[in-house]
Amino acid sequence: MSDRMIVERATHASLIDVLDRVLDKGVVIDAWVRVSLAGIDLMTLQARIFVASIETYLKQADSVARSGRIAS
Amino acid sequence: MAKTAAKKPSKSTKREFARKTAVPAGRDRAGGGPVAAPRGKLERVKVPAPAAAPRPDSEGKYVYCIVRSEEPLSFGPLGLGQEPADVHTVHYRDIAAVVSNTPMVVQDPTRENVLAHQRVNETVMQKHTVIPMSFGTVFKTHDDIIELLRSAYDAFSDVLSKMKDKFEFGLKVLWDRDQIVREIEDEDEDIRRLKSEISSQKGSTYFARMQYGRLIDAALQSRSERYVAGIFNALRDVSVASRSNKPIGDRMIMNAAFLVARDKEQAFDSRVKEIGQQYEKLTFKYTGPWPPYNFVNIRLKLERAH
Repeated sequence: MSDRMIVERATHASLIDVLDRVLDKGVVIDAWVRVSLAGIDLMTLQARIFVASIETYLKQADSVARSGRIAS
Repeated sequence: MAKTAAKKPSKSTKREFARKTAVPAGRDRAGGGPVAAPRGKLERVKVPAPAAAPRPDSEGKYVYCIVRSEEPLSFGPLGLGQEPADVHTVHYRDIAAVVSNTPMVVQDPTRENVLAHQRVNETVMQKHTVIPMSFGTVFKTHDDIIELLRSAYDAFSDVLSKMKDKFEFGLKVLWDRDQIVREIEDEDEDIRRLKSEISSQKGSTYFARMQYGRLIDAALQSRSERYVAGIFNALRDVSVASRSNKPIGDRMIMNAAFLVARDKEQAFDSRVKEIGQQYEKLTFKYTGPWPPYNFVNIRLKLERAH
């Protein structure tokens, strides 16, 4: 590890890295909705999808002073 | 589509019902549909699989991501399923959902499924800005997808503009804790003195050991903060935004995501490599480009009309 290794970008994402992202980030539909959508037809039920919250993070992490140990 | 519900004989199972209603719905809109035939005028189309006709059990639509496009797009057989499903788009105004036909079941996040989800996103984002869906979103019909796009149109459109031409990169930083402890012991006189006290003392070393532990922890914490702050600072001017997630495990000191503009990708890349050389004691796990998972969070809910 003390060799001066060049940091290489991983070309194939590891499963952990993928799971880290795909399970609860991006556009998330309530878990129970996911399940019920499998059994219902929105049109039939006259169910309506609505945006409960929308957040984008377009700032630099403010954790610089407090280190990456703090979850955000 | 809704009207057929009442007409179906009651012995028909839900599954059969879905099969009969959902598939035709997918076909008639947006031109492409599941039977995406090669069409000369489409841009950015990889030649679709010739045998991509919907199989009888392809009832629902799995959603991978949202893009901005008025033209139907086709990405070929990349989707979930043992035989990778054809990936195409469903449109509403100028946005589209990237979908594939899938059995109407709750998909488990197995290795194959999760990697297929990621593979589609990776492919789409080569040429399009994407808002990634989290894993496992299945809608029953083509019209339900349109309803999704319509309901969340403003949110999707706004976020697509904000994320335009930006990618996410992941950077995890690990250290060899024992090596750092040895370094701290070499550098810090108090700690060195305590350590030799502990090893030479005959009686109880309880207090010396407690104090040693406290000093080592504090020194590790401040060293990790210094490294992490240095790394964030070095990447500040080549990224648009950054997020700091909780490090996983003992060895990780930083678990961050960076949002990087397409035209800064090279600069970001070389900067990460410079940092890697500068901090030679640290191990870097650098991944990407990813869809901007860490920078977008849109929560959708379902409400029943009365």
